[in-house]
Amino acid sequence: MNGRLGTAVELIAFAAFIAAIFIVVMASLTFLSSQCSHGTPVLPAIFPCFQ
Amino acid sequence: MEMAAWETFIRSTALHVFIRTYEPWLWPMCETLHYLGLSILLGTVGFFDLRVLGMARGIPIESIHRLIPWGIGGYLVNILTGIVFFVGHPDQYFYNNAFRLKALFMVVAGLNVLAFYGTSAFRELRTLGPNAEPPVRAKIIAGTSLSMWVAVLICGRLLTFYRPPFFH
Repeated sequence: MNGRLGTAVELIAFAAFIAAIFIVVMASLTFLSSQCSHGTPVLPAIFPCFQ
Repeated sequence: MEMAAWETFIRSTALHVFIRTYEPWLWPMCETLHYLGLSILLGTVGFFDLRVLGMARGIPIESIHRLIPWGIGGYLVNILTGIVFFVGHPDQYFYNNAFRLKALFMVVAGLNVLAFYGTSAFRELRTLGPNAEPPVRAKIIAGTSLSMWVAVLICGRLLTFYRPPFFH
């Protein structure tokens, strides 16, 4: 693969990787928040509802 | 919310009093060091992980591994400054799901380090020269490491958005 093209592909892949991790973290935090407003938390020992 | 015994204890310590007394300059200084520490950690460990995953193939893995002590230094700086943050405002962190998620990712990252140095994964990597393809097990460990440290960084940035609605 051409050197510059290879670097561009790697950069795009890395940006997509960071975005994926961000989405997973945000989804987890949103899920944890929704658990506290709509019922019992799934993992109350680690992520309890802070009332 | 009534203050828990552990929080009452932390707030009674000399370290807590010191942090709160000098907070106007101590907190920004520790925040700056915390950012520098994470930058060094990700700049070295993250670079090593990316090499194992296949980037910059011309560089021998052993050469990049020489930077790891810098990453450990950055990690230690962040542990120390993190203690300052927690002892200064324990409720802001303890009752914060972003902090708990961050701590969880740090535990997984720590276990991942044990899996790397405690098994033959590291020994296998050391013998590889430039352009050599690392074993799949090493790639899984490197991918986990990179994912966890990026997640730790993101959770750290999100801490302020998930503060509890009360402060003691």
